[in-house]
Amino acid sequence: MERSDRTPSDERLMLEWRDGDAVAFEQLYGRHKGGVLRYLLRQTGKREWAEELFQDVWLKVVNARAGYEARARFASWLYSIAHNRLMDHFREHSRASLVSYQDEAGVIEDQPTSAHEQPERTLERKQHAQVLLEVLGALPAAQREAFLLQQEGELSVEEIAAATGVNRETAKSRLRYALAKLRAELVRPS
Amino acid sequence: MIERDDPQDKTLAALYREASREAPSAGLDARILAAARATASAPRRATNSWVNRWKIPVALAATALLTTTVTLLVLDEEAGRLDSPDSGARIKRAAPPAAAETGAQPVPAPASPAPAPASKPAEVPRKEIRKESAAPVQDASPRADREEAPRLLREAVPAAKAEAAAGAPAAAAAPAARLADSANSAERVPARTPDQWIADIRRLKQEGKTAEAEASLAEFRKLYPWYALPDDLKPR
Repeated sequence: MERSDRTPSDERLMLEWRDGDAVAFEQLYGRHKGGVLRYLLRQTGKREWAEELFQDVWLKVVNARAGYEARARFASWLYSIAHNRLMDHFREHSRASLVSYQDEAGVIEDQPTSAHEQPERTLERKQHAQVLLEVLGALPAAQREAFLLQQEGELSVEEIAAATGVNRETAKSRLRYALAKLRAELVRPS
Repeated sequence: MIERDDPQDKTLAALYREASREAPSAGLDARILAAARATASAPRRATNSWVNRWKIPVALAATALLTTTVTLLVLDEEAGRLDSPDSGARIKRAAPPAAAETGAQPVPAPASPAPAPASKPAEVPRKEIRKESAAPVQDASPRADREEAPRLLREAVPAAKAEAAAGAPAAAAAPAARLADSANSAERVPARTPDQWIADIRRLKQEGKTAEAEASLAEFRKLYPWYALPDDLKPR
């Protein structure tokens, strides 16, 4: 199978690897390894756990190679696997995280959505980034996941909904609340 | 892929990318890539091999061939068992228990028909063989005897009834014994109907053989006590 251009799609790479091209897999892995690891790291909060889950996720991809068909975007499929593995992890190791993931009603609050107040006046950019990560870590797991899937996997709201097994409105709501909370915390005077 | 109407914040996204730079360790990368290479190399040979393309059709054909061969062998063996010389003996050995169940005696081989060829039993369904083997003795008797028996019994039963009515000792005997006795006495009866017998008696009287006629009539009345005698022969 010939590559038509210099930057083949994820799906094309996956199909090439399915047909035996190991180099295609290396390219694919290079594109997504960071995003998947950070998604798992932010959700578990521990590098050790994140790496364990990361390995499981990629081994699933490896083992699913023979039956792969490009029915959806590769990233959507990849993060679905990651989400499912994460849920298993929550059930096994961290009941508190699972409860936090499922019980989001109590923490959702209406936040101001006027997001154009820039924080750079009061804090240095690096400091802002650190604050962002801290605030992100404090978000409910489902909202944080929606944000991470958008940022790391570049998934659309539809794809986030599909990957996490919820309807589109729920996914959209989670994402909206996550963004609003991050903005609010970043503009809050320290 | 992020769409235009999805909730998003480019400033937040940029800030997040700046802060978020973690990556898997080199060891983790190596393990995963090694696993991928190991998986990719082995099946690729199988996919391109003609063996892989043909193995399912060949396996199906081999299975069909094997099944057909085994079926034919079983059928041949079954036919050979029925054709073999000892098959008749086996059938005969199987017959006595069936006959015992019905209480019948083993059937003697009929003398008149010629022995069947060796292949004949194979054509006879086993059910029929067993049925014939278990048949009662009378079925194997000559045809004339079979036709005679009901007549004798018909004549014998009323005679036995008459004896019972007369208080004869035979009345106490079992019904089967009475039937047998009646059948024995019936064997002594000439082969003529009561009407013919009456006609003979009348003829004797007309010929003036009165004593013979009376004796014959007495014997007739003994055997056929229920028979309504014609007026000219009734005792006066």
